[in-house]
Amino acid sequence: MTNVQVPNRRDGRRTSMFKRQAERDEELAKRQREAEKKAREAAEKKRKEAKKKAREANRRKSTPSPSATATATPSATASASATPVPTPTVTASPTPTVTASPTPTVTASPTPTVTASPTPTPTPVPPVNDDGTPSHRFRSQADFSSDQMDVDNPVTEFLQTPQTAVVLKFFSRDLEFDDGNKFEIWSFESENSGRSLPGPTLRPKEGEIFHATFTPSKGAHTIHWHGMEPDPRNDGVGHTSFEIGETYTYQWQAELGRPGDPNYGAAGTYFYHCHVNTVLHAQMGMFGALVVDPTVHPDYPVSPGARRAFVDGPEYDIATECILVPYSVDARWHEMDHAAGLSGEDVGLNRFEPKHFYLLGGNLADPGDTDDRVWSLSTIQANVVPGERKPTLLRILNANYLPNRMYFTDAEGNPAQIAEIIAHDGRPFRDTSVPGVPSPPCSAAGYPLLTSLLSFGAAERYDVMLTPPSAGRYELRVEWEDWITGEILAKRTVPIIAT
Amino acid sequence: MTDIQETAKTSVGNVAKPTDLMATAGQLGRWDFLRYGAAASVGAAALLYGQSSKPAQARVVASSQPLAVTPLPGVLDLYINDGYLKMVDASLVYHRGFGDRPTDVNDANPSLAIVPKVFTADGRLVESRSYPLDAVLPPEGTPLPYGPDPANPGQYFIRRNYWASYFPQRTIIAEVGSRIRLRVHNRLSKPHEFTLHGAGPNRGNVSTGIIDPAGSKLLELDAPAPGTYIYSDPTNQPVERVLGLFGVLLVIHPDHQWAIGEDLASFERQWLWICHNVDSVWAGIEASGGTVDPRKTKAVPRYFTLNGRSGYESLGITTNDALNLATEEETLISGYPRQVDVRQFGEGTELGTLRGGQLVRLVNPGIVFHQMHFHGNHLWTVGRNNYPWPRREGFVDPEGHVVVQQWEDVVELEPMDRKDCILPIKRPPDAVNAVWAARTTDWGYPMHCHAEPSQTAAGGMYPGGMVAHWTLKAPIIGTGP
Repeated sequence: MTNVQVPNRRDGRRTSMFKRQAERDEELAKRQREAEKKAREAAEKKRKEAKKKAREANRRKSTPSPSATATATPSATASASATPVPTPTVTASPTPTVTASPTPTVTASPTPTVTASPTPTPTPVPPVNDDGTPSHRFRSQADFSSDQMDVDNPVTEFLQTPQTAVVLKFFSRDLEFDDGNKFEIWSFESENSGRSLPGPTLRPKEGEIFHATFTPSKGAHTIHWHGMEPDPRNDGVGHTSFEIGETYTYQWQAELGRPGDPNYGAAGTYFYHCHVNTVLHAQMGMFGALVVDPTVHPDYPVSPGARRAFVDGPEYDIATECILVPYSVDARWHEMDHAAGLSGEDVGLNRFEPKHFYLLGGNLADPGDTDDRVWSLSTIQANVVPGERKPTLLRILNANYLPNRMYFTDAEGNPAQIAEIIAHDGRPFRDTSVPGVPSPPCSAAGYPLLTSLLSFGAAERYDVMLTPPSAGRYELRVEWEDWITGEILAKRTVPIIAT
Repeated sequence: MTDIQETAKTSVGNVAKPTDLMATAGQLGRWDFLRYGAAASVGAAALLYGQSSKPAQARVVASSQPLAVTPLPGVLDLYINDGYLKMVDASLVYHRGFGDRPTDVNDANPSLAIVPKVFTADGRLVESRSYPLDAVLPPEGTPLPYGPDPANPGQYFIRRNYWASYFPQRTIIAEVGSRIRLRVHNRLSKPHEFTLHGAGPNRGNVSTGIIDPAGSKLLELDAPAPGTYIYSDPTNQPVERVLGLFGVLLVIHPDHQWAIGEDLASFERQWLWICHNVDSVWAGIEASGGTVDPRKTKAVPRYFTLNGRSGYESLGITTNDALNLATEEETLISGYPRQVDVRQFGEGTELGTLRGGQLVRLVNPGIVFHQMHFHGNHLWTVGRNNYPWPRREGFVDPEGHVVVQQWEDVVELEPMDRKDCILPIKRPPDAVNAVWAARTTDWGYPMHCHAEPSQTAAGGMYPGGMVAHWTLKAPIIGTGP
């Protein structure tokens, strides 16, 4: 497939050359879809039969699947699998919100263009599910959960030449954590990453075509590129596209950033994870960090040894860039099977009760030898600001299911306002108060988001510039909180060594 | 709250014949006895209390509980009922709720949530699943576009101030300028209360106070400032709320029906997403007449709902067409792609068009910390708990949260929190150009909570929990480039 370049999407006129190319591509895609549909139907039929047998066996063995029909007569006792734990807990109370002084939104007065009468309301065409999007209906939740569509070799539509490509495989093995505990971990490995937790850090650039060819094993899996926003086939979610039986090449193109424009740009911190029985598979370790770097813009050159966090973002020191990934383990879950719970059996996946808490990650430029072991964060090296070197960028990714709080302190434990929050979920914080003019990053607009405390929950990412004013030891204390009561479940502290 | 005596005067007129007094009393409940004065009501009150005198293990008051009260103009009657609701795995779990009509615990279709109601600024109380009342209903919940956007192939101009929005059960809408009048009837054997959180002066709570078994109380207030408010029973916090005694009050300015408020973000249509969770152990304790001590019996939610539905029911893929349609209209966001500039959600460059997305009001009356993750598009969060976030001079608050309008793909939603987010419904930014250009079908993207245990039902069945999706509608034939 050729690498088709489409004119800027704001340009309404596409060339005839592109049209012809697009028609050819579309025709090819149609043929691919038809072939794929046949393969999928055959695979689905085969798999349904296998699952039916498994369900029947399961019913005979232990827990019955819930009946599809409800009886109108209520039973006096509610079913419950969870044994109440008589541990006194504090009831969660809503956290008081600090009042943000509401700044009136500046409204530009757009001059409406006088136009001819509006286009008649178009009649939408019923969606035709010719691309593998399931149009199924289900008789019960158990049917739906156990009937996700997997396809052996789905086709990548409009396959293009990638600038970044990676081949990923599934692995499963016992890995040792920094407290000496070993747990069965499922994760991803690339050709040269070794087997570690998290999976290999992937690092494409804005504007580039990215490919990840994934060959799962031990059942069907997917890769969801959390925070990246491609078409559904490349979004990696079973119930909106397909699960991969044998192999698939994911393809997407991280959106190019534009200086001062809050509407464009993908540079930032993300992660990828399996989206099959996600509650279990992500906890088992099927995730890794994904960092999208900006393409250098001529108005924002980059100093030697430095990189920008986003197109017009601040420069940071490549050598000390670091990632921190809070994670926790409920050992009970690490004994489960790939499809635990999907057929309707109660396996207690509503109860995440971790007793082991970890800070994964480390220096991104030099992660060291992580093969066959967990990549654990023991120290953060940070540059003094101001100094000869650019500041240190700390990327944060919450890879567990609990809220976290992070306290930046000095060596004595006093709050130290050395964290400037510059981005969240892959998007910079910008001043967007004036329509129609560039929106600078908050720091450039005169109000850096400085703090000694950062609170966030599952799957969120934050990019933090560390700004220690003098050399010495600082600390980062991470607390895990109960997802209902808010009580502190664990604390861990890593030193920040400023030089 | 109004003086009950004063309110009683209105109803006295409805009770024309003294001989009807007892019969009427039987219908009106304790609230009406109070308005006749203590002396006059002794006999009747004794009768009712006699009826409600049940053993400690009783779930409800006597079966001879009053039927529906005589409606009062402009007054919304809420009945505190109990009953069993079918969960997504078809098991039945005991619930309580504020319902539209009195029902008993064994009712096969208990009234545990109200059909949406609207208090209008001109003094009417209207039952309506949609708002604005005279706006055009979007087919299957999807607003159709104004027309193609010639400068952006595959994208559309969006109609401004045109489409109605559907709302889920438990919604009360009040227009600014309206008078909210609620009459709450406790049909159960324990005391209950109705509280509007943050809707009073200085954002304080407004409450009926304790409503004794078989009693009724009237709560009356002027509609507070535009925003989203939770109502609940705060008794034995948070147990009664978890059992189902909760809902949402939405206040909208009648002159700004397609905006969060004056000078705040405009939208094409809005969606109200009410998150909740069900603890069947707690339900079992209460169903058998006990009282949950949340400090001793730790909450372990077993089901997780969005607008009252879970899993495949919340995704609208059941074999029940009516259920699927209601889900499409109330929960499953959908729209046509458009160009959006987050610096200004307002009038578009074409007359009658909007440069903006759709508003999602995320509300969490439940007890778990949710992490609402949208695939396909980031959301632009514009405010929390009715405080609009600034676009300039942002800061990190003492709790460690950044306070400035921002993009997010995961929105934190703590218990009792409310967040206002704009889903832009734009071209997924990282789709390859050729794939986008060849698109002929709807593109569906999941929304789920990333505190992943909330994606389960009955301990498994992923994705059977608090899940939804949104749809970027397919190109309309004949409007292509």
